Amino acid sequence: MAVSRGSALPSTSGAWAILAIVCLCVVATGLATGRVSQLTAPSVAAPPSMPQTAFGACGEPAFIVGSGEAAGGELIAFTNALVLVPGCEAAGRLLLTGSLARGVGPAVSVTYVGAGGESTGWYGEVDTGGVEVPLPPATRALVSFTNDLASGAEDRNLRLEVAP
Amino acid sequence: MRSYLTASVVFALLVGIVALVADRVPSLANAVPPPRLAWAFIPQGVPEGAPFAAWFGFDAAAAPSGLPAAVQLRVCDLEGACLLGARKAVTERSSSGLVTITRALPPGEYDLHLLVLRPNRLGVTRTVQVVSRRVTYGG
Repeated sequence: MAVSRGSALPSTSGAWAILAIVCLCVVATGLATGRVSQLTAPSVAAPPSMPQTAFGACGEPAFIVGSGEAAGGELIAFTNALVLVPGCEAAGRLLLTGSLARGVGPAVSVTYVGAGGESTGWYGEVDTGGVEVPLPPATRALVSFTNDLASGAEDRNLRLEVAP
Repeated sequence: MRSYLTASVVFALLVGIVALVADRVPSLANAVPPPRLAWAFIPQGVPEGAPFAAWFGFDAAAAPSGLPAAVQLRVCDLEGACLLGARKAVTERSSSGLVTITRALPPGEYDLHLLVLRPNRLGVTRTVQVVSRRVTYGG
């Protein structure tokens, strides 16, 4: 009877062996993946600075990312563009106008880049009525442009004009 | 039974040692240096209804590193609850671009993290660079 039970169930030493293997595998896996978790912990870091290349002249916006048409102080950007407006000695204005589709314009964010770092100039949706954003003297502006959620995948255009 | 136990223990230890060595030795885990962001831009203000977005640029030489790299956005509220966006591959042809995450969230302040991801040779995806900024959504 005892022999029969022993053949059906693992012996005590066999059970300990299986338990030891499971424990060691868990420990080994934990050691191996623990390093990964440590490395993937989020670290708060400021974004690397934007490229300092001389994009255009005073009042002439230029594309950093994205495409469209640029001529002098006017620019038409397609969806998801990032535009740099170089600074001028005198104050200026940014005139932003959106496309007409569905009556909902592109979502725009204007960020000032000055000696003190970056600050938000304006953000919101731009329709055909347009928005005027002041550009302080000796301050560059980064104009970023995405679609709003209501517009879905439909492309939008943004017209940007730099005025004195 | 004792020899069986000893062999099992040795085998498990070897597996652990191999995993550790492969994970920590750069020449085994990542033979080539990971791509590095040359610049990144995260707008501090996001209009309500618009996607969270980050523009990025990699060094052209670093993008084609032989292993697929990707960028991904993670948006977290101030209590630490986070959402992940879709991954976007970074290739030699797309070493600069835009990555977004679209979620219907209430207006407020959020922490936006731009993650640079790359799998090592063991297939484990690792975050090799994080750029973070607190943004105001809506309002």
